[in-house]
Amino acid sequence: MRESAEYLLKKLKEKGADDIVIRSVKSEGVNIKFANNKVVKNGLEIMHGIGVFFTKDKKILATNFQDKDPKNLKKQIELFVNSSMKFSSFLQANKDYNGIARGSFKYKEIKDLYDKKAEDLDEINCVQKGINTALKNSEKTNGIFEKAIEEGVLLTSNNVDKDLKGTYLYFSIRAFNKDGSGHSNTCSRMLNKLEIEKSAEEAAKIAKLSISPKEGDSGKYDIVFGRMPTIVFANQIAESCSPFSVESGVSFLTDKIGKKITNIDFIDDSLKENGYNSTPCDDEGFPTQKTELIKDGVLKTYLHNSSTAKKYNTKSTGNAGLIEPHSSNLIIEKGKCSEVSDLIKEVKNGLYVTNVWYTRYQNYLTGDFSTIPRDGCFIIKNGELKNSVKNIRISDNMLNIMENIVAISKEKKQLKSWEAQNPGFVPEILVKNVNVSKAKI
Amino acid sequence: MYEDLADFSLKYLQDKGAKYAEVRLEESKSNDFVLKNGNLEVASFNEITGIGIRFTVNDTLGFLNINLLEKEKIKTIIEKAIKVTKNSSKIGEKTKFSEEKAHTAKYSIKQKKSVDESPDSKLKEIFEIDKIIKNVDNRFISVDDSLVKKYYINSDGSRIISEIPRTSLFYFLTILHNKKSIQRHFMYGSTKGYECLKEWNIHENLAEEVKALTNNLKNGISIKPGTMDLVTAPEVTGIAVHESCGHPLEADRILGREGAQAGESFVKKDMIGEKIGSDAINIYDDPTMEESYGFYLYDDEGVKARKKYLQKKGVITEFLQNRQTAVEFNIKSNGSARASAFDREPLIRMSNTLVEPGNFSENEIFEGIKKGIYLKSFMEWNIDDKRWQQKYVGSEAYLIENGKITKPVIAPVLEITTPALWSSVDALSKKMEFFAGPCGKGEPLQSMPVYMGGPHMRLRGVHIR
Repeated sequence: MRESAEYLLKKLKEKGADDIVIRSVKSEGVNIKFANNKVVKNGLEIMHGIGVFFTKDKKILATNFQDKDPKNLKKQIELFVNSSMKFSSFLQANKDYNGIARGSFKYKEIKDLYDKKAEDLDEINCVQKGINTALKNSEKTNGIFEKAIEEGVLLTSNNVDKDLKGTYLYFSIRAFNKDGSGHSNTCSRMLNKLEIEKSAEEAAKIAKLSISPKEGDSGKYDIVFGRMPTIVFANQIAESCSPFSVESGVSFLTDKIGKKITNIDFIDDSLKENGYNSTPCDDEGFPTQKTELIKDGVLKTYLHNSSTAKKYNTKSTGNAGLIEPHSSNLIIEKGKCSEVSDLIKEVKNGLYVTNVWYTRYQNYLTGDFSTIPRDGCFIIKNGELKNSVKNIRISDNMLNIMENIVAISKEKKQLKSWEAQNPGFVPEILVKNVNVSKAKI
Repeated sequence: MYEDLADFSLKYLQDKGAKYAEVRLEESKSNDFVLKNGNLEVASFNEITGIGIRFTVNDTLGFLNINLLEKEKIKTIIEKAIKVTKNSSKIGEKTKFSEEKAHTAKYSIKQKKSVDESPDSKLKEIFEIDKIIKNVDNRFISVDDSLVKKYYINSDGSRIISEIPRTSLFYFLTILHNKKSIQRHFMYGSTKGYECLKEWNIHENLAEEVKALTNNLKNGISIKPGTMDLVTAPEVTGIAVHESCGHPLEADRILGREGAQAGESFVKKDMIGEKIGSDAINIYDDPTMEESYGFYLYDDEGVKARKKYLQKKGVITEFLQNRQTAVEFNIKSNGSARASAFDREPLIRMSNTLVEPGNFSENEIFEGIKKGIYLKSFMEWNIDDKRWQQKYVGSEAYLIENGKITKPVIAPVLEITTPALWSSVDALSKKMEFFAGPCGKGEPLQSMPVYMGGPHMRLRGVHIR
């Protein structure tokens, strides 16, 4: 793995490439899908990917090298480098490109990124535990268990040489009980922090509570959003924090630096212990950090790599992405909100939305969007959960949602989801005055 | 290619006791170009070869994928996969595949401008397109072309070799005026080489689109919510048929296999023969359409593709099936299984899902409307995971008064249930159009190329706000 990466770096340097980043990762994965309480797919994978990024006179090429014939590795690399340089020669310079980080660097130690116990895990047993736990309060379960063990190396032309190693665990379970359903996810780097049974219990509890939903009504509601929708909102905010999104016209946080936009603190923390996306260095080898993107409700910075940081006259936040900065672990802290052990008790007339899906924008710049509650969605009256409802839609504006967050729950949980691929540690949140629509016919 | 490795894998699986086995060897090449506000952000070319394998042992389904092209490594992962799958059979679904004819076939689509051609002339064409929209406040264009060579074999004796090129162009525009903005994204796509960039008429379409969106932004009115008639242009007809007719008729959703993420369906197993649309509605899914973005002739289970009528006169006639679901319905598969690449399992997917045209001219569609809305294009849309209630918000949209298009309308909203939508259609135009898009399903997510489309449709008495 290192041999091919080093030879690629050497050859690209010899051919005159300016900035070079080689990321070679070997991944062994397990992916078990279950449906109707049965395992329906046992997936195994072994993949070796070598990502190659280089620039020549500000012309940027991102490609990959695959070692198809290990006996002739050097010859393959030489041919690959020649064709890559030729391809690059036809490109136009990227006027906005300002280079990669210049090392060498010292990196911080992060606890709990690799778990040896994950290597010999009985994954079927994990799945069975989840299904059996959920079936105590539900009739049917669907979901997925994923495990990946990754090992690799990051080399750059600017003195970065960093070995990478990690375990990644993810469990998602949706429980059904008659016409009710509930969904809960958990992810972790360490096996003992993967909350399989807790998630299964939560999904089944919601499923049981949500049996026989009534038609919901349109109107304005104070809404307690569970952690599944909160991680979706956190992903939307993080994507809007990318300068690439701002420049593409797809950020509702355009021109909002220095402005008060919410009551929460919103943090990106690559150094978080057991963080699913924690890493000591970003994709260009720059040391990562904990960044307060929003502090006391004020947007402080966007996510940056070295190139965008230079353009915006600021410092890298350690979030490369070579083309586009990206988040690591998203964390919502209370900021100027209250922190409440039971958010539902705070609500006189509202909804408890445990999951959403299909979040789409009419206008990314203004933040006009809608998303659909799915699984248990409950009426709250005078601090108590009442009946479940169906067939409604949250049709509002993302800046309104952010502005109207008034309280968060004390407990946070690490999760990611189908619709929110960037993981985070998120609480439940209470948002005032949210617009809900529904189909008239 | 590495056919010998695929042949070896199949034999090794059979020797190790697999009752059913299939091997997909895929060699893909692709180029991607990304322009942001006229600046070439990045270009990439990628080549990857890998093997995806499905098999059953103890009637339980196993899947593996690998891109290490060495016999010993493949042997090791096959042995491990068989062990894991056997271990899971205690809680595994009893997997059966419908009996299907074995096929030996070879087909390919020729590219005039190939994936291997140097990027200079390709980039030149993209920059020319960008020139058309150089005055747009924010603009983003990405263009991809690819070629996938596939070698498929299974234990039933099928051997299918294909070479499929695809090209797509996506753009996203933001137009600003007096602190207001309007946005639009759109995608072109075909199963062809890069030459299709010149065939899509992008220059003219983009210029017209920017003019229309600017007019909407500057002069658009808001409408008073109420019940009125609606005309959907082919783009809106297309998204509606894809979301609320194609997805709910996928048999794996109906049987609950995709319940965790992509969801289930309001359509139940016994609903063949039920009427959910008006007499005007005929809907089909046809992967065999030449040059279409969802084109294929054999699916990823080796079944020959064919045109399927999903609804005739508003009555459900057929579900989309693969070999596993076909067993549950005691029928043959209709060839709807596709995987996005060698590292994903085949799932039931739409291909080109279309509303069949009617007998009306476009003028006749509008003539009968006293007051209504014309949704020419859309921006925001979504639908619940049972495909029961959906929302489409206009991007380019107009007021119809006394049979004529009069004023532009800002973001009119159609929020409606599936039966209400399809039951309210009383007229379809003669001409149909197709629109390319990526369709998402499965975990890990698989994005599949599809066409969506149909004619202009007239809906009577729907609520618009």
